[in-house]
Amino acid sequence: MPKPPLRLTRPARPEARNKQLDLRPALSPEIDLNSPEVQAFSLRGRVIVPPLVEDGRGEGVLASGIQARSPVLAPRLESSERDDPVVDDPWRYAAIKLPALSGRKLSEIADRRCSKRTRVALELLQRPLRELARNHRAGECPPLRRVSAGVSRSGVSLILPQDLADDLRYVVETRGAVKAQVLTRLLVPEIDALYIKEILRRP
Amino acid sequence: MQLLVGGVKGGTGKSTLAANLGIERARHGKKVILVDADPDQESLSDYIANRDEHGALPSVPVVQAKGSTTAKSLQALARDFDDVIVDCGGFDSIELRQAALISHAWVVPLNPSQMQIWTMPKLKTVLDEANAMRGNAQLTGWLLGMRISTNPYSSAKDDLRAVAKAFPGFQALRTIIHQRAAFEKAEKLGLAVTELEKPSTSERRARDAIRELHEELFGSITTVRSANA
Repeated sequence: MPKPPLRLTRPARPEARNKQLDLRPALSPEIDLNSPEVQAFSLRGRVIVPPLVEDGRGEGVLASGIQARSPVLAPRLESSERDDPVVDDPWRYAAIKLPALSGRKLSEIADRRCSKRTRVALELLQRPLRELARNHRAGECPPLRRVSAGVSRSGVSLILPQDLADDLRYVVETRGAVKAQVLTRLLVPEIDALYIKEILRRP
Repeated sequence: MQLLVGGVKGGTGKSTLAANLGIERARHGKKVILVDADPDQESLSDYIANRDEHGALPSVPVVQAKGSTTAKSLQALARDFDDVIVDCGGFDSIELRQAALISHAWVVPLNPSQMQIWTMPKLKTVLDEANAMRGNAQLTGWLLGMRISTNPYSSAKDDLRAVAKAFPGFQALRTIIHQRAAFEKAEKLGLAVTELEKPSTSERRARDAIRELHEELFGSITTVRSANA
Protein backbone atom coordinates (compact mmCIF):
# COMPACT_ATOMS: atom_id res chain seq x y z
CA MET A 1 0.00 0.00 0.00
CA PRO A 2 1.56 3.34 -1.03
CA LYS A 3 2.30 5.85 1.68
CA PRO A 4 -0.48 8.47 1.75
CA PRO A 5 0.68 12.00 0.90
CA LEU A 6 1.05 14.52 3.68
CA ARG A 7 -1.76 17.08 3.99
CA LEU A 8 -0.45 20.53 4.75
CA THR A 9 -3.78 21.95 5.91
CA ARG A 10 -5.91 20.77 8.78
CA PRO A 11 -9.04 18.83 7.90
CA ALA A 12 -12.28 20.78 7.85
CA ARG A 13 -14.38 20.45 10.95
CA PRO A 14 -17.94 19.20 10.64
CA GLU A 15 -20.29 22.15 10.72
CA ALA A 16 -22.10 20.96 13.80
CA ARG A 17 -18.87 20.92 15.77
CA ASN A 18 -18.28 24.62 15.35
CA LYS A 19 -21.86 25.71 15.49
CA GLN A 20 -22.85 27.28 18.78
CA LEU A 21 -26.04 25.70 19.98
CA ASP A 22 -28.90 27.88 20.97
CA LEU A 23 -29.25 26.75 24.54
CA ARG A 24 -31.74 29.25 25.72
CA PRO A 25 -34.11 27.64 28.20
CA ALA A 26 -37.79 27.55 27.43
CA LEU A 27 -40.07 30.25 28.73
CA SER A 28 -42.33 29.56 31.68
CA PRO A 29 -45.46 28.10 30.15
CA GLU A 30 -48.91 29.26 31.14
CA ILE A 31 -50.69 25.98 31.72
CA ASP A 32 -53.80 25.17 33.68
CA LEU A 33 -52.50 22.21 35.63
CA ASN A 34 -56.01 21.29 36.70
CA SER A 35 -57.38 20.97 33.19
CA PRO A 36 -58.62 17.55 32.04
CA GLU A 37 -56.17 17.66 29.11
CA VAL A 38 -53.20 18.04 31.45
CA GLN A 39 -54.52 15.30 33.73
CA ALA A 40 -55.04 12.96 30.79
CA PHE A 41 -51.56 13.72 29.43
CA SER A 42 -49.99 13.06 32.82
CA LEU A 43 -51.88 9.85 33.41
CA ARG A 44 -50.61 8.37 30.19
CA GLY A 45 -47.37 8.01 32.14
CA ARG A 46 -46.97 5.08 34.48
CA VAL A 47 -48.16 5.58 38.04
CA ILE A 48 -46.21 3.99 40.85
CA VAL A 49 -48.72 2.84 43.45
CA PRO A 50 -47.27 2.97 46.94
CA PRO A 51 -46.85 -0.40 48.64
CA LEU A 52 -49.33 -1.42 51.30
CA VAL A 53 -48.32 -0.48 54.80
CA GLU A 54 -49.10 -2.16 58.06
CA ASP A 55 -52.38 -0.42 58.67
CA GLY A 56 -53.61 -1.86 55.39
CA ARG A 57 -54.89 1.42 54.04
CA GLY A 58 -52.46 1.47 51.16
CA GLU A 59 -51.17 4.89 52.05
CA GLY A 60 -47.44 4.66 52.39
CA VAL A 61 -45.14 7.52 53.06
CA LEU A 62 -45.18 8.27 49.38
CA ALA A 63 -48.88 8.96 49.37
CA SER A 64 -48.24 12.56 50.27
CA GLY A 65 -47.56 14.74 47.28
CA ILE A 66 -44.12 15.74 48.40
CA GLN A 67 -42.00 14.74 51.33
CA ALA A 68 -38.73 16.02 52.67
CA ARG A 69 -35.93 13.48 52.99
CA SER A 70 -32.93 15.60 53.73
CA PRO A 71 -32.49 16.65 57.34
CA VAL A 72 -30.92 19.84 56.05
CA LEU A 73 -33.99 21.60 54.85
CA ALA A 74 -37.60 20.70 54.55
CA PRO A 75 -39.09 23.25 52.15
CA ARG A 76 -42.28 24.83 53.28
CA LEU A 77 -45.22 24.11 51.05
CA GLU A 78 -48.73 25.41 51.29
CA SER A 79 -51.06 22.72 52.57
CA SER A 80 -53.39 23.27 49.63
CA GLU A 81 -50.58 22.21 47.34
CA ARG A 82 -50.23 18.90 49.11
CA ASP A 83 -53.88 17.97 49.55
CA ASP A 84 -54.68 16.77 46.09
CA PRO A 85 -57.51 14.27 46.44
CA VAL A 86 -56.42 12.54 43.24
CA VAL A 87 -53.13 11.50 44.77
CA ASP A 88 -54.68 10.42 48.04
CA ASP A 89 -56.46 7.44 46.57
CA PRO A 90 -54.65 5.33 43.98
CA TRP A 91 -57.93 3.55 43.23
CA ARG A 92 -59.02 6.68 41.42
CA TYR A 93 -56.30 6.14 38.83
CA ALA A 94 -57.26 3.71 36.14
CA ALA A 95 -55.10 3.08 33.12
CA ILE A 96 -56.46 0.34 30.91
CA LYS A 97 -55.61 -1.17 27.57
CA LEU A 98 -58.51 -1.86 25.26
CA PRO A 99 -58.45 -4.15 22.22
CA ALA A 100 -57.51 -2.08 19.20
CA LEU A 101 -60.98 -2.43 17.67
CA SER A 102 -62.70 -1.22 20.84
CA GLY A 103 -60.22 1.65 21.01
CA ARG A 104 -61.12 2.69 17.48
CA LYS A 105 -64.84 2.45 18.24
CA LEU A 106 -64.40 4.56 21.35
CA SER A 107 -62.47 7.15 19.34
CA GLU A 108 -65.19 7.24 16.72
CA ILE A 109 -67.93 7.72 19.30
CA ALA A 110 -65.96 10.46 21.04
CA ASP A 111 -65.25 12.11 17.72
CA ARG A 112 -68.90 12.02 16.67
CA ARG A 113 -69.87 13.58 20.00
CA CYS A 114 -67.03 16.14 19.82
CA SER A 115 -66.00 14.73 23.15
CA LYS A 116 -63.00 12.85 24.51
CA ARG A 117 -62.33 9.15 24.79
CA THR A 118 -61.76 9.39 28.52
CA ARG A 119 -65.02 11.20 29.09
CA VAL A 120 -67.03 8.67 27.08
CA ALA A 121 -65.27 5.76 28.79
CA LEU A 122 -66.01 7.23 32.19
CA GLU A 123 -69.67 7.67 31.29
CA LEU A 124 -69.87 4.10 30.02
CA LEU A 125 -68.32 2.65 33.16
CA GLN A 126 -70.71 4.24 35.62
CA ARG A 127 -73.75 1.96 35.25
CA PRO A 128 -72.11 -1.47 34.90
CA LEU A 129 -69.55 -0.83 37.62
CA ARG A 130 -72.16 0.35 40.11
CA GLU A 131 -74.37 -2.59 39.18
CA LEU A 132 -71.49 -5.02 39.62
CA ALA A 133 -70.67 -3.56 43.03
CA ARG A 134 -74.33 -3.89 44.03
CA ASN A 135 -74.30 -7.53 42.96
CA HIS A 136 -71.18 -8.20 44.97
CA ARG A 137 -72.63 -6.52 48.02
CA ALA A 138 -75.65 -8.83 47.62
CA GLY A 139 -73.29 -11.78 47.72
CA GLU A 140 -73.28 -12.51 43.99
CA CYS A 141 -70.29 -12.82 41.72
CA PRO A 142 -71.55 -12.46 38.15
CA PRO A 143 -69.22 -13.58 35.36
CA LEU A 144 -67.78 -10.90 33.12
CA ARG A 145 -67.43 -11.27 29.38
CA ARG A 146 -63.92 -12.31 28.45
CA VAL A 147 -62.03 -9.86 26.30
CA SER A 148 -59.36 -10.96 23.86
CA ALA A 149 -56.99 -8.06 23.68
CA GLY A 150 -54.56 -9.23 21.01
CA VAL A 151 -51.16 -7.69 20.47
CA SER A 152 -52.25 -4.22 19.40
CA ARG A 153 -54.04 -2.35 22.15
CA SER A 154 -55.33 1.11 22.81
CA GLY A 155 -54.74 2.83 26.14
CA VAL A 156 -57.22 4.89 28.11
CA SER A 157 -56.39 6.64 31.37
CA LEU A 158 -59.15 7.68 33.70
CA ILE A 159 -59.60 9.47 36.98
CA LEU A 160 -62.63 7.88 38.57
CA PRO A 161 -65.01 9.78 40.84
CA GLN A 162 -64.43 8.79 44.46
CA ASP A 163 -67.66 6.81 44.81
CA LEU A 164 -66.93 4.87 41.64
CA ALA A 165 -63.38 4.21 42.83
CA ASP A 166 -64.84 2.88 46.09
CA ASP A 167 -67.12 0.54 44.15
CA LEU A 168 -64.19 -0.61 42.03
CA ARG A 169 -62.09 -1.27 45.10
CA TYR A 170 -64.90 -3.28 46.69
CA VAL A 171 -65.37 -5.38 43.56
CA VAL A 172 -61.66 -6.01 43.07
CA GLU A 173 -61.08 -6.93 46.69
CA THR A 174 -64.10 -9.20 47.10
CA ARG A 175 -63.55 -10.82 43.75
CA GLY A 176 -59.79 -11.12 44.10
CA ALA A 177 -59.57 -9.61 40.66
CA VAL A 178 -57.19 -7.30 38.79
CA LYS A 179 -58.40 -3.72 38.51
CA ALA A 180 -57.61 -3.26 34.82
CA GLN A 181 -59.18 -6.61 33.92
CA VAL A 182 -62.47 -5.71 35.59
CA LEU A 183 -62.61 -2.31 33.93
CA THR A 184 -61.72 -3.65 30.50
CA ARG A 185 -64.34 -6.41 30.70
CA LEU A 186 -66.97 -3.92 31.75
CA LEU A 187 -66.05 -1.30 29.22
CA VAL A 188 -65.70 -3.33 26.01
CA PRO A 189 -69.35 -4.56 25.82
CA GLU A 190 -70.56 -1.07 26.66
CA ILE A 191 -68.47 0.42 23.86
CA ASP A 192 -69.82 -2.19 21.42
CA ALA A 193 -73.41 -1.41 22.40
CA LEU A 194 -72.95 2.34 22.20
CA TYR A 195 -71.14 2.04 18.87
CA ILE A 196 -74.13 0.21 17.40
CA LYS A 197 -76.51 2.77 18.85
CA GLU A 198 -74.68 5.97 17.99
CA ILE A 199 -72.65 5.13 14.89
CA LEU A 200 -74.10 2.17 13.02
CA ARG A 201 -77.80 2.94 13.53
CA ARG A 202 -77.44 6.65 13.08
CA PRO A 203 -79.33 7.90 10.05
CA MET B 1 -34.35 27.56 36.29
CA GLN B 2 -36.40 24.39 36.51
CA LEU B 3 -34.27 21.65 34.97
CA LEU B 4 -35.65 18.23 34.23
CA VAL B 5 -33.25 15.31 34.04
CA GLY B 6 -35.14 12.38 32.66
CA GLY B 7 -35.57 9.70 30.06
CA VAL B 8 -37.42 6.47 29.57
CA LYS B 9 -34.45 4.14 30.03
CA GLY B 10 -32.93 3.14 33.33
CA GLY B 11 -29.25 3.21 34.19
CA THR B 12 -28.32 6.14 31.97
CA GLY B 13 -26.88 8.22 34.79
CA LYS B 14 -29.80 10.56 35.49
CA SER B 15 -29.46 10.62 39.27
CA THR B 16 -25.67 10.91 39.10
CA LEU B 17 -26.02 13.84 36.73
CA ALA B 18 -28.73 15.55 38.80
CA ALA B 19 -26.66 15.23 41.97
CA ASN B 20 -23.46 16.50 40.33
CA LEU B 21 -25.20 19.45 38.70
CA GLY B 22 -27.10 20.32 41.87
CA ILE B 23 -23.96 20.28 44.00
CA GLU B 24 -22.09 22.33 41.40
CA ARG B 25 -24.89 24.90 41.39
CA ALA B 26 -24.73 25.10 45.18
CA ARG B 27 -20.95 25.54 44.97
CA HIS B 28 -21.61 28.51 42.73
CA GLY B 29 -23.64 30.06 45.53
CA LYS B 30 -27.03 29.33 44.02
CA LYS B 31 -29.98 28.35 46.14
CA VAL B 32 -30.75 25.01 44.57
CA ILE B 33 -33.05 22.16 45.46
CA LEU B 34 -33.04 18.64 44.09
CA VAL B 35 -36.33 16.88 43.51
CA ASP B 36 -36.37 13.11 43.52
CA ALA B 37 -39.32 12.26 41.31
CA ASP B 38 -38.56 8.58 41.08
CA PRO B 39 -40.58 6.98 43.88
CA ASP B 40 -39.54 3.54 42.69
CA GLN B 41 -35.79 3.97 43.21
CA GLU B 42 -35.17 7.11 45.28
CA SER B 43 -31.53 7.11 44.11
CA LEU B 44 -31.13 10.87 44.34
CA SER B 45 -32.46 10.89 47.90
CA ASP B 46 -29.96 8.18 48.78
CA TYR B 47 -27.14 10.14 47.15
CA ILE B 48 -27.86 13.25 49.18
CA ALA B 49 -28.55 11.28 52.38
CA ASN B 50 -25.08 9.78 51.94
CA ARG B 51 -23.68 13.29 51.43
CA ASP B 52 -25.32 14.46 54.62
CA GLU B 53 -23.92 11.47 56.52
CA HIS B 54 -20.45 12.40 55.33
CA GLY B 55 -21.05 15.97 56.42
CA ALA B 56 -20.10 17.33 53.01
CA LEU B 57 -20.69 21.01 52.37
CA PRO B 58 -22.45 22.85 50.89
CA SER B 59 -25.64 21.14 51.94
CA VAL B 60 -28.03 20.50 49.11
CA PRO B 61 -31.65 19.87 50.02
CA VAL B 62 -33.61 17.12 48.34
CA VAL B 63 -37.33 16.45 48.42
CA GLN B 64 -39.48 13.81 46.85
CA ALA B 65 -42.40 14.45 44.58
CA LYS B 66 -44.82 12.06 43.03
CA GLY B 67 -48.08 11.80 41.20
CA SER B 68 -50.31 14.34 39.61
CA THR B 69 -49.28 17.16 41.96
CA THR B 70 -45.65 17.04 40.86
CA ALA B 71 -45.92 20.10 38.62
CA LYS B 72 -47.63 22.15 41.33
CA SER B 73 -44.98 21.12 43.84
CA LEU B 74 -42.22 22.16 41.43
CA GLN B 75 -43.85 25.51 40.84
CA ALA B 76 -44.08 26.07 44.59
CA LEU B 77 -40.40 25.22 44.99
CA ALA B 78 -39.41 27.52 42.13
CA ARG B 79 -40.73 30.45 44.14
CA ASP B 80 -38.20 29.81 46.89
CA PHE B 81 -35.16 28.51 44.99
CA ASP B 82 -32.97 29.79 42.18
CA ASP B 83 -32.81 26.37 40.61
CA VAL B 84 -34.99 23.28 40.85
CA ILE B 85 -33.40 20.14 39.43
CA VAL B 86 -35.77 17.23 38.95
CA ASP B 87 -34.64 13.64 38.59
CA CYS B 88 -37.30 11.35 37.10
CA GLY B 89 -37.29 7.56 36.91
CA GLY B 90 -36.17 5.75 33.78
CA PHE B 91 -39.62 5.20 32.35
CA ASP B 92 -42.57 7.14 30.99
CA SER B 93 -43.97 8.20 34.32
CA ILE B 94 -46.63 10.61 35.49
CA GLU B 95 -43.84 12.57 37.19
CA LEU B 96 -41.81 12.87 33.97
CA ARG B 97 -44.85 14.19 32.10
CA GLN B 98 -45.74 16.62 34.86
CA ALA B 99 -42.20 17.97 34.96
CA ALA B 100 -42.08 18.25 31.15
CA LEU B 101 -45.09 20.53 31.31
CA ILE B 102 -43.43 23.24 33.35
CA SER B 103 -39.63 22.82 33.11
CA HIS B 104 -37.41 25.33 31.34
CA ALA B 105 -34.96 22.71 30.13
CA TRP B 106 -34.98 18.95 29.72
CA VAL B 107 -31.68 17.07 29.72
CA VAL B 108 -31.77 13.50 28.49
CA PRO B 109 -28.63 11.56 29.41
CA LEU B 110 -28.05 9.11 26.61
CA ASN B 111 -25.35 6.66 25.65
CA PRO B 112 -26.27 6.26 22.01
CA SER B 113 -26.32 2.48 22.03
CA GLN B 114 -29.00 0.78 20.00
CA MET B 115 -31.17 -0.07 23.01
CA GLN B 116 -31.14 3.52 24.19
CA ILE B 117 -31.78 4.97 20.76
CA TRP B 118 -34.87 2.80 20.49
CA THR B 119 -36.37 4.75 23.39
CA MET B 120 -36.27 7.98 21.38
CA PRO B 121 -39.69 7.64 19.68
CA LYS B 122 -41.36 7.36 23.07
CA LEU B 123 -39.39 10.35 24.37
CA LYS B 124 -40.40 12.35 21.35
CA THR B 125 -44.04 11.48 21.90
CA VAL B 126 -43.87 12.80 25.46
CA LEU B 127 -42.01 15.95 24.35
CA ASP B 128 -44.43 16.64 21.50
CA GLU B 129 -47.49 16.11 23.67
CA ALA B 130 -46.07 18.37 26.36
CA ASN B 131 -45.22 21.05 23.80
CA ALA B 132 -48.71 20.84 22.38
CA MET B 133 -49.90 22.19 25.74
CA ARG B 134 -47.05 24.64 26.37
CA GLY B 135 -48.03 27.16 23.72
CA ASN B 136 -45.18 29.56 22.94
CA ALA B 137 -42.98 28.16 25.69
CA GLN B 138 -41.70 25.25 23.63
CA LEU B 139 -39.35 22.86 25.41
CA THR B 140 -36.25 21.40 23.73
CA GLY B 141 -34.88 18.02 24.70
CA TRP B 142 -31.11 18.35 25.18
CA LEU B 143 -29.36 15.06 24.55
CA LEU B 144 -26.30 14.61 26.71
CA GLY B 145 -23.74 11.96 25.86
CA MET B 146 -23.41 10.19 29.21
CA ARG B 147 -21.32 7.24 30.30
CA ILE B 148 -19.59 7.34 26.94
CA SER B 149 -16.57 5.13 26.42
CA THR B 150 -13.22 6.90 26.72
CA ASN B 151 -12.03 4.99 23.67
CA PRO B 152 -10.92 7.71 21.21
CA TYR B 153 -12.39 5.72 18.33
CA SER B 154 -15.86 5.73 19.87
CA SER B 155 -18.43 7.12 17.45
CA ALA B 156 -20.74 8.19 20.26
CA LYS B 157 -20.48 11.93 19.54
CA ASP B 158 -21.42 11.53 15.90
CA ASP B 159 -24.13 9.03 16.79
CA LEU B 160 -25.61 11.48 19.27
CA ARG B 161 -25.76 14.24 16.66
CA ALA B 162 -27.37 11.83 14.20
CA VAL B 163 -30.01 10.93 16.80
CA ALA B 164 -30.73 14.60 17.48
CA LYS B 165 -31.07 15.23 13.76
CA ALA B 166 -33.44 12.31 13.33
CA PHE B 167 -35.75 13.48 16.11
CA PRO B 168 -36.79 17.11 15.69
CA GLY B 169 -37.26 18.84 19.00
CA PHE B 170 -34.04 17.40 20.39
CA GLN B 171 -30.52 18.86 20.25
CA ALA B 172 -27.21 17.30 21.19
CA LEU B 173 -25.26 19.11 23.88
CA ARG B 174 -21.62 19.87 23.17
CA THR B 175 -20.39 18.38 26.44
CA ILE B 176 -19.79 14.66 26.66
CA ILE B 177 -19.59 12.88 30.01
CA HIS B 178 -17.37 9.84 29.79
CA GLN B 179 -17.64 6.69 31.84
CA ARG B 180 -15.11 7.23 34.62
CA ALA B 181 -14.45 5.64 38.00
CA ALA B 182 -14.39 9.16 39.44
CA PHE B 183 -18.19 9.20 39.47
CA GLU B 184 -18.38 6.00 41.49
CA LYS B 185 -15.75 7.27 43.93
CA ALA B 186 -17.55 10.57 44.38
CA GLU B 187 -20.87 8.79 44.83
CA LYS B 188 -19.47 6.67 47.66
CA LEU B 189 -18.38 9.84 49.44
CA GLY B 190 -21.59 11.74 48.70
CA LEU B 191 -19.58 14.24 46.68
CA ALA B 192 -19.72 15.67 43.20
CA VAL B 193 -16.72 14.82 41.03
CA THR B 194 -15.85 18.51 41.17
CA GLU B 195 -15.22 18.12 44.91
CA LEU B 196 -12.73 15.23 44.84
CA GLU B 197 -9.48 16.15 46.56
CA LYS B 198 -6.11 15.56 44.90
CA PRO B 199 -7.74 14.37 41.71
CA SER B 200 -6.02 11.97 39.38
CA THR B 201 -5.86 12.74 35.67
CA SER B 202 -9.05 10.81 35.03
CA GLU B 203 -10.81 12.50 37.96
CA ARG B 204 -9.75 15.91 36.66
CA ARG B 205 -11.28 15.06 33.29
CA ALA B 206 -14.53 14.03 34.93
CA ARG B 207 -14.47 17.27 36.94
CA ASP B 208 -13.83 19.35 33.85
CA ALA B 209 -16.66 17.66 32.00
CA ILE B 210 -19.16 18.51 34.75
CA ARG B 211 -17.87 22.09 34.87
CA GLU B 212 -18.19 22.36 31.11
CA LEU B 213 -21.72 21.02 31.25
CA HIS B 214 -22.59 23.40 34.05
CA GLU B 215 -21.30 26.28 31.96
CA GLU B 216 -23.13 25.04 28.89
CA LEU B 217 -26.44 24.70 30.72
CA PHE B 218 -26.36 27.61 33.11
CA GLY B 219 -23.70 29.91 31.73
CA SER B 220 -25.81 31.25 28.90
CA ILE B 221 -28.88 31.89 31.00
CA THR B 222 -29.86 35.47 31.25
CA THR B 223 -33.52 35.60 32.03
CA VAL B 224 -36.35 33.14 31.99
CA ARG B 225 -39.45 35.08 31.21
CA SER B 226 -43.06 34.11 31.35
CA ALA B 227 -44.71 33.29 28.05
CA ASN B 228 -47.12 36.13 28.71
CA ALA B 229 -44.42 38.65 29.57
